[in-house]
Amino acid sequence: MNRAYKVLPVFAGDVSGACSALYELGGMVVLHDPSGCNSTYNTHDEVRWNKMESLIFISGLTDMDAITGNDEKLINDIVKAADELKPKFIALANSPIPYVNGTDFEYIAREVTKRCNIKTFAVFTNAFHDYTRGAGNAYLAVVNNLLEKKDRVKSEKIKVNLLGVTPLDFPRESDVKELTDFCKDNDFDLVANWSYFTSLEDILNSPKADVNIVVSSTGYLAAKRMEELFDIPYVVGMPTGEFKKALADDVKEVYESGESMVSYLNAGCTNSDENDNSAEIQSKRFIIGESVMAGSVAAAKRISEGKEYRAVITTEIYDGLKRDIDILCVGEEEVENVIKDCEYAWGDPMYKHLCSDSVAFEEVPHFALSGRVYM
Amino acid sequence: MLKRIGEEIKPQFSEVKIKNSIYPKPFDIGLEFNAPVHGTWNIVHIGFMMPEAHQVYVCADNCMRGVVMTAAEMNELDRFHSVTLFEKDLLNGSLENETIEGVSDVINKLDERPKIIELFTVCLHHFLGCDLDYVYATLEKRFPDIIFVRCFMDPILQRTSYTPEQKLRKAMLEFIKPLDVKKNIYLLGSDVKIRDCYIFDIASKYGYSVKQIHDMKTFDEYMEIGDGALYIANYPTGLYGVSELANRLNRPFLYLPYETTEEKINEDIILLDYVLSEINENIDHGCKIDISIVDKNNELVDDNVSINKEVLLDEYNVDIVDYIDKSDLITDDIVKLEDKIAEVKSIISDTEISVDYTAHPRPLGIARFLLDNGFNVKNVYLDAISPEEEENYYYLKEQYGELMLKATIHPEGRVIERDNRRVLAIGQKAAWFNNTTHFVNVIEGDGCIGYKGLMNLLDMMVEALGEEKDLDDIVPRKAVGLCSNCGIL
Repeated sequence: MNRAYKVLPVFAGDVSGACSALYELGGMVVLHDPSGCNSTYNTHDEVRWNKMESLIFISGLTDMDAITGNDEKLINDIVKAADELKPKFIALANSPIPYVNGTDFEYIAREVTKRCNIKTFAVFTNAFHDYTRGAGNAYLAVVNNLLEKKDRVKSEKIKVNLLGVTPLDFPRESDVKELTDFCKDNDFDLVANWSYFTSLEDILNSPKADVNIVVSSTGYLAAKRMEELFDIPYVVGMPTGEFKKALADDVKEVYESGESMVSYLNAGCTNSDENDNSAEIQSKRFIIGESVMAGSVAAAKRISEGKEYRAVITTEIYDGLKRDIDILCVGEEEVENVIKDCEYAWGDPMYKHLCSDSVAFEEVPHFALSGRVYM
Repeated sequence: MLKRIGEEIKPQFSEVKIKNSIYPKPFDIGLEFNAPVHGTWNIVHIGFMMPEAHQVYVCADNCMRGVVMTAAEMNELDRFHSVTLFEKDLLNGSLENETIEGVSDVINKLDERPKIIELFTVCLHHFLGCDLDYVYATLEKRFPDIIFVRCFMDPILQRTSYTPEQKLRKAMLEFIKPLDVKKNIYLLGSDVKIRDCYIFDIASKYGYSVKQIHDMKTFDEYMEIGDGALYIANYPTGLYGVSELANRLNRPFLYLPYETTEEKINEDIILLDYVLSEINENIDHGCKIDISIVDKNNELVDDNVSINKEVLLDEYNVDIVDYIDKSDLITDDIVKLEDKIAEVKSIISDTEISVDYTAHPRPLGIARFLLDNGFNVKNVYLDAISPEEEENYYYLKEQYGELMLKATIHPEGRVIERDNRRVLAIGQKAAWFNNTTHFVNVIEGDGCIGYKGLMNLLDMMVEALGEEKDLDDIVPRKAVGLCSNCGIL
């Protein structure tokens, strides 16, 4: 059964993902929830709560308001707060009970926009998904609701956006610096970082970029949408170790070709024939975690060591972000079955509980999973 | 220092002078802010007070995250397990089966069979009409050696019914079986351990032991709660569960809360003394405990606790003035408290003081006590006024109308100026909202009951004034007094 957890925590949820993605953009995020979502988010899933203001609130939904469909209270409360706090936009996020009773968030968003003249939109969340889906949908909502096409001016440098930069995957300032340094080192001109150490103004300039670099799967939906709306191609990959050069080369190639790609899929593969990769299939060296991070680290290790490493993906995933030989796991039992007797594992220390003592385990805390425990 | 995102906002709706406020809701709160202050205990912390108990939560990912990470930071993941719900479970009407099979799967995977499982169902179970009787009956049949405790994480009901923590405190006592009465008094329903106070003095006078859950190491020891001669609740959210236990076991019960006025503290001391003397007489003569005490004291569960206590004392024909004159217990402590007040006043002087509701169940009572004794209390942080504080509220409104009431969950709280480092704060929220490093780091009254409790509080104020605490590292940690296995970035 893949729903029972004996020792592992669950990943940060979709509501936390949405909040994390929108945190620095100056909007007001309203979680339509009775209690708990905001506390969970700001305690376990957000490193900025005590350092930087952000207008993230819960609605304080009651059983009677849910049963009677009293959306008017929610609308009035949002308008009242918006009148006072003057956010740059308003985003609405859902939770289980409003999801079950079919609360019409599109209607509520329209009403709020009409009454307070501030752009309001819904971000699809329902608390049943992990942070990658919530942050991904939040970024998608930003593209759909806030971005406008801009003239792209040719320049000597390739202009890039970094998509998918939330503290859930990159909790420390140094993590973000590593990403921005990657741009500097390769002479890429960074237009916008989505969205840690950033601003709404930067984000609104994103359509000026030549290439989107998707550094975690949270940025994937936004990249796809920006490709549709603004003809910006994307490269998927997190710059790390020996994979950085391959990723940079792919950014340049995509800039020239206009064809998007997932960079780590073929990086460091000793055998280019997808149908003849028995050595890789046999590999029991695993990189465990979020799809882009795991895929990129596995690629870096393949390049640097010339050995096969496979990604074990434990978050939700979008089509096209894994190799056929990578492994997708849902729930603790599936992860345990894959990694318990492996040769080597790289991932959050929580996974170590599922491994036998013989496994060489490289501990790399993932904030979206173990939160503050290993910080 | 918080990085600002917009212009500074002058608070308009999140603070009010008490003379201009309305009881019991001084603020019109719609959307709610959650300050990064987490020292109070949640249902995970409370549930793990029961020795050897395991917890299983059945809910969606996002709801699970807060509780599982609480357990992780407590280093209690070995006793914490979860069953995640998927969207499809809402549509196919299988919530009962998914809950039963998920919990069974967890149990079957454990290396050792737990004696007791606190099973938490959630808002979704209520809204989808999940047949919880069927769920528990099936699990009990399948695992007859395990006690399943009915617990809830259903905050959507907390404004119109009991809160999840009130229900948990009740559930944690529902399976206690009656045992032969021993000379034991149980203080239950409090997260913090009750400190030395008149309860211990009076218990000792009649030869009783005072027991608290904090000292129980094994589940078998926990089950001995059934041998109590008297059950006492001190903390408001424990009242419901502890009174229900006493009622079910047909034993006496008293609510002896965190009073802050001489009159009320004296009433509680006298009441306990009389009740215990009556119980003692029955026990010493081999009689069953007088059920009339149970009946009388169960009235104390009513909202208007103080009136009922006066009625009760009247029924006992207690001459309060005479009792006080003859009681060293009271007169000695009053003198000591007066000395302590003078000593502390000379140190704290006119330092501005803020109090919050997380530090003490009677924040207005504490403000009243301090103001009446010449301290400079300026602000009380709370979002609503407890019925238990009605008298304190009207007293302060009349006597100290300039006292400010400040909300902690109003959206304005996110953007108002917080820099007031000269303040001596009583409580984490008061500390955070003033950004002061001088704060009394306690929750829920810290077990400070009666005169000795007030003296403890005064000592802690002096200590807080004298030394700086790391506000940014302390207040985001969960559950004052418990393991906090985490780093604060």
